[in-house]
Amino acid sequence: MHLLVVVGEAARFAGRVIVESVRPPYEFRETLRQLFELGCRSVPLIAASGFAVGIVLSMHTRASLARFGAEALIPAGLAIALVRETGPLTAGLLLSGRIGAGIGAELGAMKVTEQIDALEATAVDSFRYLVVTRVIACVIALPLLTSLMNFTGMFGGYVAETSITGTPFQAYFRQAFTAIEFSDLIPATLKTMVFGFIIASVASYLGINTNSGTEGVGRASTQSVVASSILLIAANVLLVRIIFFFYPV
Amino acid sequence: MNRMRSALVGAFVLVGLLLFGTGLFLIGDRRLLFVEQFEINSTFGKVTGLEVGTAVTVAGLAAGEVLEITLPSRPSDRFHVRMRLREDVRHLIRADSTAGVQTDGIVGNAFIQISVGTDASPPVTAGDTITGIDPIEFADLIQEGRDTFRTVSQEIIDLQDDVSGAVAALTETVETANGVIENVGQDLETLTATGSRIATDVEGTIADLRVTVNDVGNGQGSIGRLLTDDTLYERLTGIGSEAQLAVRNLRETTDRARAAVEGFTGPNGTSQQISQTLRNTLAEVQEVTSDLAEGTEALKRNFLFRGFFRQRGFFDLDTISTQAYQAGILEGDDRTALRVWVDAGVLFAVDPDGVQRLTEEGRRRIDSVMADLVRYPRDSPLIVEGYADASEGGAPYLRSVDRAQLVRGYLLQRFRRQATLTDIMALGESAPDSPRGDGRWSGVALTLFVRNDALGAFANTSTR
Amino acid sequence: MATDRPAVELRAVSKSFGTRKVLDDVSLTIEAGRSICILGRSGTGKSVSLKTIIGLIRPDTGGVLIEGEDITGLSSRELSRVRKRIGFLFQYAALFDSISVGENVAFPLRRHSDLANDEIRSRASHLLTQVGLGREYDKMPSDLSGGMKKRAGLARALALQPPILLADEPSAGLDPVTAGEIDALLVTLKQQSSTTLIVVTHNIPSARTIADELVFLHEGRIIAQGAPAALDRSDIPLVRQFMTSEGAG
Repeated sequence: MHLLVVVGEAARFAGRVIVESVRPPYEFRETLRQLFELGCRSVPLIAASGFAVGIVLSMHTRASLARFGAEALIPAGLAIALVRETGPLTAGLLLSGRIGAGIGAELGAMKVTEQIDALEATAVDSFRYLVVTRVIACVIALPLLTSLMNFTGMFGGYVAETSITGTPFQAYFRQAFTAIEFSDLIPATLKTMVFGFIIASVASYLGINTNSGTEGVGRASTQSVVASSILLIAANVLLVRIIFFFYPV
Repeated sequence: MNRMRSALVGAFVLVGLLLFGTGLFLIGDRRLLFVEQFEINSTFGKVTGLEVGTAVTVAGLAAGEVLEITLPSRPSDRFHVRMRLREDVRHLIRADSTAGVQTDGIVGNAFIQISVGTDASPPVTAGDTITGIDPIEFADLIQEGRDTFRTVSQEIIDLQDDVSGAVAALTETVETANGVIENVGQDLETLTATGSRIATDVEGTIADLRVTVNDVGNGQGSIGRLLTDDTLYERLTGIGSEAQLAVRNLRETTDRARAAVEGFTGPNGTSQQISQTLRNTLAEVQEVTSDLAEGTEALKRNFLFRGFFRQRGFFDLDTISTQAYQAGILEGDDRTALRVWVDAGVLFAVDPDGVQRLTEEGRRRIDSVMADLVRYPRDSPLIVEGYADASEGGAPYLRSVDRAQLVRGYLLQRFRRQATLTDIMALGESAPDSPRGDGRWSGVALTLFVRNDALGAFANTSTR
Repeated sequence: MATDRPAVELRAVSKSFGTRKVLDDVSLTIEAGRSICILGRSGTGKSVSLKTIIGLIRPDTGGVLIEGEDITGLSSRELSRVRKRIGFLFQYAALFDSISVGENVAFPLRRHSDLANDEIRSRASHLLTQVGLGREYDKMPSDLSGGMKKRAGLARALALQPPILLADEPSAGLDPVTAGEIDALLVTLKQQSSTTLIVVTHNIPSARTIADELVFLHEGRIIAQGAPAALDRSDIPLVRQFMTSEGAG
């Protein structure tokens, strides 16, 4: 029963986010600020992780493909793996950690210190000011960060590969793109907008509904990460299914 | 929100978009979305492995992709395939270029390979249709292979009889000779030994062939290896003509052996003469037996594929002499040549600069000839024989080549004849069967080689 | 402005949280320019009544009239319009901890006025000077002491020069000197402008200094109401007990 109530409330919350996000006036400045906090500040994390993931993936691809004498397919294999799934999902999960925890804790703290009430008392729609801006910033940032992850991943792959075979940069990227279609890149990248929506909405919901003091803030933060990660993975299954429906392989 | 932060957000958004955009561009670049392009069409009887987006290569160079595959409106029609190619390869694709469905290795992706045309043909323009060659399908090949090998087995049995007969006659003759002349004893011994060795060899070879035929018939053996080869067509046609040659040699050799033996057993002549004749004969027999051995060896390698190609209608006219052609080598036992003579006066006109071209009336004439021929199976080989009279001036042979090519080009384009089943034979002025009665002809003859079984069925229909 | 109407009027307001009745049929009229103190023991609905007045909490039954307009049925946009006329000083100041002290004060101006940046800064700076924080403009809220935060919160509440000011426990948790300073500020405010003051406190000396009228809440009901001198003579034991206490924070 309690679970049903939470799911129902969360769904209404998400619906409200969508409705409010398209209705003017827009909190442009605050959205920009959130884009900085959530987007720009995640760049080092995503770039470094992407690079590392690229190196590791490259080593695995090499190990598998070398068995069949198919070393020539390493860049393409790595690129497909990154672009189609690894990039979007890894970026999504990393950011649900960083952004989800951040939003959950920040809004939770604002809730218990009455800052949200203070916003309302200042005649500011706290939902639009705090939640919608974060969700929009996240929806914008996720595909951008995913693209960054894809790139640094491929760059990591290139570094790993060139250290073994000395493949030139251009040749590597040209080969990497021989197997990727628009239908690989576009839906996979754009689906992270849904990830962004999930992360920011879930974290905001839990943050805003924090009740019992400092302890509640910590809980909101942890729950944000857990709930948004699980929802994100579940949504990913659904999204991949939908993508395959529209772009059968 | 200070300016620095705004700038960072701006940089973040721009770099993200730039990376995404670069990805899109690289894909688009590969798919040639940013270079000038043109569209071209082709038709196929079957489209195994083809789909929208399938790569198209021109002489091996990645040059475009399949845009659309349209279903045939009725079973006898062909699939219509629309392709988009980069403009800069257009000058390589000529009216006589062909498009074939090929496969990257045995389990690889299908792709369309367009062959570069000949310099003489005009370049295609956007929207043209070039001839499509159907893919060879594994299953089909094996099925057709089975049928073929049944025929081959029969031929081997026939041949065995011929060869055994010849060898038996040879041995018998030698034994008879043995009684007559003493001083050639040593030669005879050698010969007898050779004769029986050849006999064993030939029998062995034929037994081997049977085993191979059975193996391949059951789906085993070496044919599988051949299928993975890119140059399958060329190799198979090559082997086919070699095999034909080998069989012909073997038959000739057998005949010569008979003749030699018959010459020896002639009743008249002195001992001296007989002795000399015998020596000659024996030398000849020896030569023949070594030829026989050689022919058998050649046969062993190539014989398997002969019937297969004859049945399918693949042949290589380059390896056939005009004499052999006119002797009816393409007809064999199982095909009949339907020949329609068309006079040059109707067909061609000569431009002021001396170039021949097909006249409007000539086209109509060919259309009406083809109207009679289209009743026969489409996979029957059609040969356009070119003839030219010496009285017309110039070199008759060259003129006959031009004529045959003009007509063939028209047939490919107008009737969508398969290029591999439509070829030319330039015969100069020699036309033994010419309706003019003087053994010469000026013009062309359209000759359709129809399988006898198909011929009968259709002939009956047409007479009713 | 309708001066003939009361600044704030509660009409038979009831509010329950779960089974606990926090406000029980409370009716209260506060004329413009008056200042009242709401007194009572902890958890008797003092803060809730303030939040009800500004619309942060909607009553279950009854009406809340601000300058004659019932706000219980208003949309969030209409509510914003009303809220701009009310300043609210929160118990723990509830400064926005992501922006500087000065920007906290400037925040309502930035949101609700068309003033140029320089003008907003100078006004915010002036407000801070008034509460004795003239040099703290660029500090972050976390760098301020509790008393300074309260003063900054007061400056923020006054930024839009609201005709009504609500203050929740302005001197709670402060040392007597600081508490006295805050009280002095409120008195000054009352004297200089005709601001309607509604202060929740349980500090009787403060209340005596500030208020024209005292209202006693007990278990969600008003048990006594009147001028301090009158209540001194009240025959309700609880009220007398309160009035004689020195009421530290």
